[in-house]
Amino acid sequence: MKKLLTLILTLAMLATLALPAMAEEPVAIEMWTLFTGDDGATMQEIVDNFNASQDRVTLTHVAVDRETLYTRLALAMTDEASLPEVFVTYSYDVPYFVQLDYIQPMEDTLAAYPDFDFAIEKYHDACATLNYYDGVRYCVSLDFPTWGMYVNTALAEQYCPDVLADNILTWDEIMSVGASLKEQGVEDVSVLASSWDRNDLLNSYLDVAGTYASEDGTTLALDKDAVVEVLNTWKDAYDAGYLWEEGEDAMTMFALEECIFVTGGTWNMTAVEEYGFDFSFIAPPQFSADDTPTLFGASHAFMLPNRSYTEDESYAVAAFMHYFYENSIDWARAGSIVASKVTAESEEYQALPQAFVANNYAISNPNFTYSQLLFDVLDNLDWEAVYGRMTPEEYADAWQTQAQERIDAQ
Amino acid sequence: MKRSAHKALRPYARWIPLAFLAPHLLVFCCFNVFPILTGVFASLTKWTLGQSPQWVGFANYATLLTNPDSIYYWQLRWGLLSTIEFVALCVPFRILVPLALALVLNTKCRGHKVLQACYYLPSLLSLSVVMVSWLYMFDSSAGIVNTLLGLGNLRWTTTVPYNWIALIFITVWWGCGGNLIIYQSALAGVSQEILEAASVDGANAFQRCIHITIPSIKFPLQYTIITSVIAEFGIWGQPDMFNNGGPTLEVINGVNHQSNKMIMQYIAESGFGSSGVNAGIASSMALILGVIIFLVSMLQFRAMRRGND
Amino acid sequence: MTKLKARRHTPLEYLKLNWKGLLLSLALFAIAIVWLCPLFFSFFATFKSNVEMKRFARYMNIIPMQWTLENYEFTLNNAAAPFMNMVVNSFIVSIATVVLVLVISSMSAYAYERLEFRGKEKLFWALFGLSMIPSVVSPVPQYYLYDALGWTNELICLITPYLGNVFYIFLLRNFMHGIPKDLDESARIDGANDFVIYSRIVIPCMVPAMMVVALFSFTGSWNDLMWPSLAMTSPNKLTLTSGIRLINDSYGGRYERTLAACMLAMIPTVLLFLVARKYFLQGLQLSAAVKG
Repeated sequence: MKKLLTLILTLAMLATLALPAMAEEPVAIEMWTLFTGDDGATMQEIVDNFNASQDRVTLTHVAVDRETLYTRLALAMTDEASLPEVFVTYSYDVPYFVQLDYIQPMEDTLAAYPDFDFAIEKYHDACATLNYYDGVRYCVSLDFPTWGMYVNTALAEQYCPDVLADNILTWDEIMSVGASLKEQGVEDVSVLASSWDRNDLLNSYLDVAGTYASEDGTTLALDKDAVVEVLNTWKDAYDAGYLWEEGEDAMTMFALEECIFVTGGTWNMTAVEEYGFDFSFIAPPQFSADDTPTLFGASHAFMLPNRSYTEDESYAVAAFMHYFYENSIDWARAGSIVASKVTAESEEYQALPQAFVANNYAISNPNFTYSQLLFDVLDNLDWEAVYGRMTPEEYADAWQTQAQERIDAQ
Repeated sequence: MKRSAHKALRPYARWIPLAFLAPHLLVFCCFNVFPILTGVFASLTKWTLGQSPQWVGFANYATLLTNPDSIYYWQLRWGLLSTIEFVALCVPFRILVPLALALVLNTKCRGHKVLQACYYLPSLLSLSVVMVSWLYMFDSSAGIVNTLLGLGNLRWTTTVPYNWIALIFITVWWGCGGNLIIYQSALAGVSQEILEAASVDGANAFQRCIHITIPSIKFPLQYTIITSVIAEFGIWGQPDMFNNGGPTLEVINGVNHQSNKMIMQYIAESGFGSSGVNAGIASSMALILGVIIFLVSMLQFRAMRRGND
Repeated sequence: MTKLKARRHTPLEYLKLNWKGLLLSLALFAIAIVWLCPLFFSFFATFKSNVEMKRFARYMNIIPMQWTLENYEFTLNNAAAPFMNMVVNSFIVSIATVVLVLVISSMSAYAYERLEFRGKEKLFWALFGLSMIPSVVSPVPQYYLYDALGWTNELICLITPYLGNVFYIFLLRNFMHGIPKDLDESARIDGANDFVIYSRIVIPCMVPAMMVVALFSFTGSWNDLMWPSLAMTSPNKLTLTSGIRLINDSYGGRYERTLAACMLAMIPTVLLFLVARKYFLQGLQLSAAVKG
């Protein structure tokens, strides 16, 4: 059946090639992304350049803020005419979107244009898992918004020169550096500040427990003991006064050189560059220095909504994904860890701050259908256990219960 | 007999009222009733946005009202509790502050036009400016409020009752202008002759205000009370951006009770966005809230009508 | 000319006569400065860089140390959210909303307040009750409705949802209640029909209330955030306020830019307020109508 389809498609292609007058028909396609602010402007530039490079394809970039994009996708799914030709969300949405019938496999589209060559080997190693679901390729990655940690180079050299020999900061080191700062009477510098509770807790949790889902990715399998251990670790450091104080803004502390380390994402890169001092970007705090850190990161990825495509539309989508692959360096300058190996191997990319973690650590997130629901619960629970308004056990329970009931509603 | 009497009262054709009502009824039926009815229908279904809803009858209501094992049971209770508390604490200020301002400005004191503009200005702002500005004001480590009042590192967002004080203050600040101009328009119409006559009769400013001014702006006042109550029942954006519901007070059955998390926040959370996976339950909660708001408004209206007679 | 001047009080006399009023003004101005403090902060913040925003935590400098127009430049030149397009769209939507709301609501209010028909109060309260159901759930069915009509991505779908607002009728009705009925009665005896009474007698008396409704509906439509960003899928159909969401980065942080966009976006509403406010202070023009 597939072969027959390919044959027909190929014949159709040949037919269009044979009729140059018809092939010149202009094609207009639409792409929805969650890129706003600087990212949105950068993406718009790339799209504009793409359009300028094309004879007949015009791509319209529709930037939507992240929250609204999910609702809008859900609404548009009921009417094919209102769907875009391609959209960008996170790779961890794939299993859920497949379950909801939002997206379709990409393989036929990718295979139809051998000149563009979308071979998975040409993409960042993480794509081999993140772009597939049930052995089928459902998305093409742009980049990996990844959780890590910014280091104030000068402060680190002053207060903990030996910690960074291996570029890994462990919790033991946090405690000892904190203690030595106290000893020296340094009051206006903290060791570490967290800029996003959700990602820090997830990263620490995954460092300890490895996953939060069953092997097949369909059921929630939170390791409550690991949650409690993680929370206690953070809480001990917090109670000892080595971290930020409740109510303080982490990025502000870092900008004012009031902390040596701040956890943050690759997306904070352009802002941190403006702070005007030397910094590096490494893995977030680890429980042990023995194993190589795995970074918690998703992937922004192109997906095809479940709709029918004309030959021209498919071509236009493929052409843009290919163009983005070839020109990812524009995207990398904004701080991204790009999926394109061509770009990643370039000299310019290797000089960027994110190249260190991109070269040294694996990026992953557990295969789980309901990742987004799990994250949202965490966003609501905040640092309440570290601030002492919930016990770590209560926190673990709440995370489990609230995520589970939302999952059950599916 | 009765009919002719009625006719005398109504010296116009039967179709006249309909002609006046038609435009509104038309748009209301087309564009308001349909979404509302769909909401009612949705409350009887299990529904993930983007999927077809499945009929479950009154199961959502049963869960919300009788099943303590469900997170939604607690969300409804705690959400309603916070919201009712907020309405009770906030509405008096939302009436009295602009009323006092309107009365004072009505004395046409020097610069009253500039002052009116100053006090109205916040009402023109969109939610994001309001909340971003106030978050900087109430920042615990470097906030202007703490600095000016010498409150040290007071954490406005996570300390009860300061989170409530801040929220009420922000809401009154933002919403003051609307009621202010309603009162000002009404006050401008109060007969100066009567006030002067009362003044001649020896009534002082306070007595004039209570016995003449306030009663003569009774209807606009009633309007603002009812609409302020309704508006504050729907409070959502301010607490959501201020502290996402505030500090945890207790945890029951895996649900954390947050000090100022409002019912609308829970509704929006389950109905929309990336975690908007339970639009059915969200619709049920919204309908319950709608019924409560309606009952409260009816009670207010009854009480006022009694006051008018 | 000189005579007029001579009749005026000297400053000292004026102070003696009006010290209470002046004191009141002074107090009100002092409170107003505190009242507007967050706005001063936000206004100056729009001229700060991201680093400067963070420096505030240390130096408490409301006024920027280094002024920059970068935030405004970003807002005005953001190709992902074309600014001038959004301004035009916002004006079309808001002005159309105001005009239609005024006509529709005032006609309805007239019917409820001045005319008798069976089930009047019941109808009013039924509509009122239906409006009580929080609108947070309605965007979804609304979307399906407009999609079925083929109106998504058309500006009309940002106008129509706000025309049925019952609160404006309620407000106008409550104001209309204060206008004596003698006027319509005498006009009626002179042979005027209801359309004449409505447009020539009642409406002219209602100017302040109508201006309140105009201001409310304009501000409401102008500041609407959620619905336009759901209904409008094409970037050149966005309105200004919904476009502000596209100014900040996905994970927040650039508040100075959001504030700059908001400052630009509020200019029209401020202007409308300044134009409209003299009407609020006029009061219901009963005396004028009686004389006429």
